[in-house]
Amino acid sequence: MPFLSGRKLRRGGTRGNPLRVPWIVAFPSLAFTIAIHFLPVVVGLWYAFTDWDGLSPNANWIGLANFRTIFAHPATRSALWNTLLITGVFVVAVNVAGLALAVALNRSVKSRHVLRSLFFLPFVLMPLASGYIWRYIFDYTGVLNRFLQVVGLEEWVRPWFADPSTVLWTIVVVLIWQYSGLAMVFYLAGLQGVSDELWEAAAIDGASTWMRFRRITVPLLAPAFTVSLVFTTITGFRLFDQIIALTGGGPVYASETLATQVWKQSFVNGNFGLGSALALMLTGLIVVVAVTQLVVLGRREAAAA
Amino acid sequence: MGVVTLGSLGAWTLARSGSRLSTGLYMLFVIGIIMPLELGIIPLYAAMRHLGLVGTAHGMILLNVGHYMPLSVFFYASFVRALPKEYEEAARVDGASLFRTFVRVVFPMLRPVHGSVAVVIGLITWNEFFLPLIFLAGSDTQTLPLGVYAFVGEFSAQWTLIFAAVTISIVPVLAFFLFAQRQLIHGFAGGIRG
Repeated sequence: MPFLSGRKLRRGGTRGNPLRVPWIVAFPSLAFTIAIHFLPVVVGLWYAFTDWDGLSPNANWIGLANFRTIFAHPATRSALWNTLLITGVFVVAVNVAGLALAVALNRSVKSRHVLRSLFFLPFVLMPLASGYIWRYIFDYTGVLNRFLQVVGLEEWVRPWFADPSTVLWTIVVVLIWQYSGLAMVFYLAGLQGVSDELWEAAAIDGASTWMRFRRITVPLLAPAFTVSLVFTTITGFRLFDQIIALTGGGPVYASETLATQVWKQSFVNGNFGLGSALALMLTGLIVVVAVTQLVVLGRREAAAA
Repeated sequence: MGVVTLGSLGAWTLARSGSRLSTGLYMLFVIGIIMPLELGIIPLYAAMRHLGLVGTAHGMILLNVGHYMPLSVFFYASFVRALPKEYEEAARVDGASLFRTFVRVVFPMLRPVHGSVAVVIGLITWNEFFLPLIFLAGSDTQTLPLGVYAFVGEFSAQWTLIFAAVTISIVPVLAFFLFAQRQLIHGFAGGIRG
């Protein structure tokens, strides 16, 4: 994964090469990226320290007041905590599941193509729509509770999404269902690079299956780890559609996330300054965590290569 | 469409210009992928409202092209780097202009990537809920996720009706998936081989 290795890019041409393309040719794509990504972010950065309501012509600088509000208000404080918790559990669980699926389906099982498609399918479905299906399953009068009653586990019956103690875990279950297929595809692509000869050679040298997995497969999967971890982390932090479909952020604030609060504070409550401050927090989290992952995992990739 | 054309053009330039600048610009695009849009969304909303683009299909398209540009540049860049340079050399030696070289030689050679980029980004856009919710909610221009959302709001707990809406939104994707699953899976896996 050449996320951080600029050297690879430069190899494409040398100075004075007639193949050099003037950088102005990249201008349209660059202009779009700057207009949609970078310019608004700079402005948003400023809004985060103001009390702008979205309508009045001027916004007043109020310093760090928005951030104090975030930590003081139960909705936003809960959103920050939930986002961290969901992301942490989700990233670990989904990557373990994805890696297990990939290893299992990399062998020449007859039905492997069908199974791969089947596991990948949840990812392509509209998160909002599949979220509603899950809400039906976990509803108090829904499929799961009815099933539990039939098999005699009445004491397990509960309002999965309406109980603050179960709501986050139920959401994580849905997320794992949705994204392990994607993680699987990342790891499968990585496993293509693991040659059978290497495995056989190690086996002849007397390495156990676990040793071979640990010493051959894992290092060669380094690029896949990078992509999968960074992608699932960003997905976890930005969690929005699924929350809206499954719980709407409730009960009370038990399943609010930073993204749902950005939307609610800005576009429902008209508090654009506070919304920007929340968005800044979300951005900061993602940038810090993703860059750390890229640097640390990039170093591991280099060590494995 | 816009993403395919401009994205491939941008990536080609970056991969071939071979200067220090291109490395920096490439990093800019990578940052664009990582950075979430939430922070920029409010100024964007204000700007688009000012330009009268909120609630219009045009505005939404512009927004999406910009939003997924870094991702497409990233996809293309990894493929352009793997292309043999000899074809371009030959074309240039034969007197083809820069523009002709791109249209006649480079663009066709990137065919597998066009498929992946179009399929992957098309799918993400189809399912996208956050952006349309903000920029199209309450207007006459609706996307499917918005429709489903409004529908559920109106008929809460009437599960048979909700499932009808959910089915409508899922069936096209299912059909599409059966048809294009190879390209889709390759597309998502594509980021790794770079």
